Amino acid sequence: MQAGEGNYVQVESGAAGKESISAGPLVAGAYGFLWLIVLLFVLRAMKRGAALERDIAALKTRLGQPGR
Amino acid sequence: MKPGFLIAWIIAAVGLLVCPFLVLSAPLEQSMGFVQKIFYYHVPSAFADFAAIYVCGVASVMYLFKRKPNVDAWAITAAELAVLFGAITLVTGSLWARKAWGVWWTWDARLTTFALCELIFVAYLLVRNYGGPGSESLCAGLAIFGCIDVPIIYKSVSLWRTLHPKAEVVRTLDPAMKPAFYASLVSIFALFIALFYLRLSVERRRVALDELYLAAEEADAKEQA
Repeated sequence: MQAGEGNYVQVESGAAGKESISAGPLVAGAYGFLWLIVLLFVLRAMKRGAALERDIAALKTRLGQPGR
Repeated sequence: MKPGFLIAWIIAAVGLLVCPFLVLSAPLEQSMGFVQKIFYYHVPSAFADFAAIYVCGVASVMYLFKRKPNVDAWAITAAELAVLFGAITLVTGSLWARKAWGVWWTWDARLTTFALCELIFVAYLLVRNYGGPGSESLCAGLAIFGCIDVPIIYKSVSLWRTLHPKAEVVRTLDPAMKPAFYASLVSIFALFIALFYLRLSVERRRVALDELYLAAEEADAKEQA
């Protein structure tokens, strides 16, 4: 008989039937996700900032203005 | 680097390194146990998200009236932070729900209204990136819709029957849990300010580059004439 077929039968030992999800990895995951997403945001912002800075310097040179 | 920006970074970095120790030393909650500690990051992130949404909303209304690029720079910066802190809130909430409710997600009123708000600001960024000229005004309207959703999110737990803990949970927090919560709140708001400064400086460079492009085009046109 496949699991789920037939009648539901109570387990003998109470602990054997419990689903146990450890809270530790979930709490650590929440904190880790916060750091990860913030780090990605900072890196992306810095990369975009550097690229814009290069473009500004190039355009200023083309227009004959002194660079920053 | 501006002093305010530096102070915000220091508070955020020190706070986020110290907070885990305060969170771990805070007493365990009676019914939820250890997983309740996610609350110390989840709720401050939601507050930072609401702050970002309102900054974006106010800047958007100002942009609709004044049409100043600097005001628009504030709006787009705040919209990105709304998506960032919204994502943190949704993911940390989902991790908490897996243990507390046994599911990663449920179509509860609080969760649904919050997800809707997150989608409004994801749409905002998509329209800004791919919408072309004129998308600023359309996005300003979207930001106002996002602002309207915030009080609905906040009141959703009292307006509808939901599984989500009530809004009073912060006010009625056990005194022994308060230091960890307020330290986390200050750290996340310092992080919000630091990230805002950083992203705003990038956006201001983009505005400066646009102005330079216009000047270059004018100079080219004059040369050709």
